[in-house]
Amino acid sequence: MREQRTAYLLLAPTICVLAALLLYPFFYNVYLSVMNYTVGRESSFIGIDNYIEVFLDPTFQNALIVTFLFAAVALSVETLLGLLLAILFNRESKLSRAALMLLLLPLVMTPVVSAATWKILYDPVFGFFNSVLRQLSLGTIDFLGNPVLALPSLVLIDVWQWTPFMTLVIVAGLKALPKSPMESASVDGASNAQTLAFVTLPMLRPYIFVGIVFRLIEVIRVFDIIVATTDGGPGIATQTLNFYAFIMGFRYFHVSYSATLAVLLMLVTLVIAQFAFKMATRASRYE
Amino acid sequence: MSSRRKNRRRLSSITLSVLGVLAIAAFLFPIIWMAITSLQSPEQFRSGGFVFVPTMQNYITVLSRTDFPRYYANSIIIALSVVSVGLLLGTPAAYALGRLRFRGREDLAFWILSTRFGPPLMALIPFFLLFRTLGMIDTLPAVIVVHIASFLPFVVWMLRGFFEEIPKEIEEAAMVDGCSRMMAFRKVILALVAPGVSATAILTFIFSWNEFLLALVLTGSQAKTAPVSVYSYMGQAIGGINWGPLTATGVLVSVPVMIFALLAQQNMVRGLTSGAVKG
Amino acid sequence: MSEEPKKVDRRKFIYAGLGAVAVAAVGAAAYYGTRPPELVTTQTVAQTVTQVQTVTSMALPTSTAVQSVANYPFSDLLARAKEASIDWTQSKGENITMACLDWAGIEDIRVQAAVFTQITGISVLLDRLPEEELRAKLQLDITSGAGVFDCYWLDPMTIATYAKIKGLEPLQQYIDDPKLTDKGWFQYEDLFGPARGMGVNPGDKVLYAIPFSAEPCILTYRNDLVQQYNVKVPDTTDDLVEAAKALHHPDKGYAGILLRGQRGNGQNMWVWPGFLNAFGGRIFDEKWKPVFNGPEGKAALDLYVNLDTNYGPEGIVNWGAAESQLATNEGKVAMNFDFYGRGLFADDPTLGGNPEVKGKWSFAVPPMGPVKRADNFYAWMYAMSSASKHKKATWLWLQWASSREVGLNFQYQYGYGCPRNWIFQNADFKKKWASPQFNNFIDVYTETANKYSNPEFRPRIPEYPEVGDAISIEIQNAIAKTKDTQKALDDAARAVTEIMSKAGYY
Repeated sequence: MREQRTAYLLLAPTICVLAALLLYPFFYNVYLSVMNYTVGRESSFIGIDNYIEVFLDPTFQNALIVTFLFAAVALSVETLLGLLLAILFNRESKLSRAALMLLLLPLVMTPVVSAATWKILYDPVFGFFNSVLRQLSLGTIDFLGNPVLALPSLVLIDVWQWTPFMTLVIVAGLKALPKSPMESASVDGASNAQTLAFVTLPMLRPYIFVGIVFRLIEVIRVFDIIVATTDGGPGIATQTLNFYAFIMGFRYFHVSYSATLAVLLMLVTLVIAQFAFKMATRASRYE
Repeated sequence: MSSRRKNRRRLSSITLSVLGVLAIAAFLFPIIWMAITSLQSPEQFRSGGFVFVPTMQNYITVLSRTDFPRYYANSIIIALSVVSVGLLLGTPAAYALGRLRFRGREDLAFWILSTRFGPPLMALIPFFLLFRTLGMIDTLPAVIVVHIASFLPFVVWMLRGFFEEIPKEIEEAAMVDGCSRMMAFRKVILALVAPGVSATAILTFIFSWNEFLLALVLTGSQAKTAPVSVYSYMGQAIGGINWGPLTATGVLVSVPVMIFALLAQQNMVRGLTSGAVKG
Repeated sequence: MSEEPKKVDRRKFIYAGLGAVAVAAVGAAAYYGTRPPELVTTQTVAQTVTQVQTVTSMALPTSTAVQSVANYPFSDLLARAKEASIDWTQSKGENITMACLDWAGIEDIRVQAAVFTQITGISVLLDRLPEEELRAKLQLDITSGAGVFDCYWLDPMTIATYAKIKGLEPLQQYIDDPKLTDKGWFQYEDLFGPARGMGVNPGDKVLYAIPFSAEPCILTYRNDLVQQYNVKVPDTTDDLVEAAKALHHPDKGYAGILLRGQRGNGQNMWVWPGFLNAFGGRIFDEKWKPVFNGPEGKAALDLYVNLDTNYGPEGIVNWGAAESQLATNEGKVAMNFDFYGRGLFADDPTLGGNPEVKGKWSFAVPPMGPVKRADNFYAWMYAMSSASKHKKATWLWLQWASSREVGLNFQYQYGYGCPRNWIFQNADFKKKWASPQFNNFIDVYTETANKYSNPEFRPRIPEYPEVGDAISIEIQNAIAKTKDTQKALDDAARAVTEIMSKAGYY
């Protein structure tokens, strides 16, 4: 009983602050999404019309596809690459320790700064990559201007920045795992690769999972990279949901439509998180 | 072990080392390139970038001829304030969630984390209108408040992991030795959780420092933060892009967070991952 | 176990170090943070001037910028101000805030503000913002009626939007008020006609803004390359294609021509509509239905895409204003049809120009299409907020800032700014800008800005940002070869129809 009261007392300031600062925008947003407010025009209540319009909007559908592709490819590559790097650097050598430290650097770099740097590197006329290609007589590639290459090029930026995160999570997992199952497997005659695949990997599952969920929540709202490089182009090839909502609200003044997109984005994140937590609690029960 | 097997072992370990070095080089390349470009004068950059005689000219330009130092200072003030308030509010909350038993504990924890689910965009318009009414646009407190709202859940979440790690026995042992709960908290738990607190502080600093979208909309030339100023230098319509000063600002913006990350990496990683997994 | 003491020591050391850094950081932050940014008081006029002069002369000794500030010493400006029949000090002691675009030339506006303060006792705070931020801040400030800014650099494409919500202050009353404006001194009609026309809201024909600049598109070309390849200076659009073909030598490091490709209602939609109009096309008809996807539009887009994909630089799909200037600075293109200052800024090392191409830029009037010359025109406008609490003081500032001598100071330095005929006939101005280095700039510019420019070359309606973006996306698609030109135009027309119908036009 006393614990309960102490707990509530300690939690009160945090809960008050969060409630005040976050519930208000949320409800205001929901309110905006059932109105048809565009700055400079009359507004009225229109119920769920915005939501219907959004689902029928081909630009929204494109944004959905772009966001999904971006998230899927980025996350897969980050997980796979992260796993490989984690295994590579999970040794006790000075080199490995230094490597893991250095991997932190891309991770903490300001996303706008990394986007700016990559944009220059990618540039067909002034960029480093293309001057190397030209030296090797391989011609020029417009990474950000080619409609097929633009999205993968942006995915590469995200992979560069966030693979270290997955690597560190998995390394932490590897260090936390008990050694005995691996040892008994190799005593039983399993090769390194077999031990890895059939013993280590399944035990790593909760860690990999947590990493994926954390990344997923962040990657579906990717914004900094897009606005600093292609601004949604070429055409709408790199126009993600969050970016679409931003230009709808802040460039075209369709505030209600933007609010609708924001609410939808939040619901998607909520669903993913719920699903992820269910899976995570189920997975950890295996231990 | 047969000598052939030993040789194969050695070969594979050499290959792995080479792979490792290549991987690290690939990840560090853009950062190194940015640093090198920032030390080049425009003439060297023009000639294709393969000539390299370092010059501090770009840094001098950025530090003396622009308002960049003021934006840098803004970022420092904002980040430090966010960390202080965040820890002040979040530590007791994390303690409660991590060590006390009460009804609705898991639900409350999830609710606090769920506040991260709304995209920052959702908060942007309401906050802007609110600050406008209060006359707080383009002020540091506005950004600080919004950052606290964004990062407090993370502080609570991460510290909770550290608090949970401490076995109950230590606390009980201290109380058996005659300490009250408060004293147990101060002398024992706080000391044990100190590395976690510092790691959380550093991570929060980094998040606040790197934050872009909210700062972009809420600030003008007085409260502008460092990342926003980098974005400004990119879009100059009349002067063209000056890559020397641009990369110089990029380096200056990146250096503090990189230093912090390297200093605190052990605890930082522990905090990020253990807090994450235990949940 | 023996590791414990070492770990503790290292940790203490790290914490101590961090603490020291934090204290130093807070100290520095407090120092910088408590200095007001741009507020220029009467006491600091001389300091500011010396500072600007020292700074610009630190850059490069031969910088053209240094010569300028000395051109009209402040004693002259003060004397000239006294010639006006109005009382400049009538709003003494007030503070006004102006939002403006952030670029190198703003240093000079700070100096102007300093002198203004000395004359009037009004303090002017300049809020320098990059373009995207400027637009966003203005939009939020004006639409919310906050009145954070008293005046600003306004995009004339947005006059219709803001006039509709009564966010702008009509200016005619101030021009006509003899207590606030000496018409003989201010000489409003001296400003270029199209530039003045930009300040009028096409909807209600009310004047809301006075021009800061006049910016037509002109053709900038490398005269040495034109000579080298024996190319005729393009006069018609057909000439343009011929010239681009002859000048396109990527192996030597430069492309034939640059026409912006980046999406955005102010990027590729800054250049293309000029060609549309040159072919006799329009964006909308009288009933506000899109007609740009007709045969004229297709011809214009075919030309545009042809030039960009065959004779343009590699990255053109994503190149906007910044890249256009950079490519010109670096000599990566032989011709550039864009904002007229490209060649001028490319010549000025303090603005990033490459000394190797100095003096090699010549200019030509916009190319002639089947119907007329390309009529691109833009002007940054000075406008006043209707929510301003210092309207008289603000008007005094706007009047002074766009006056003859002040305008001449700025124009003398950059070849950009106040669009007054008096300036272009001024002997001092011509001594610099009609010099061989800038070739035929003055003639081409004054001819284009007076004769061929059309303020309505793009529809100045509140919906323009969205309409412009929709068309620009399809133009970019066409350049990137994702769609062929007719399909791109048709898709754009469909999108525009939907935008206009939702906005209530039909």
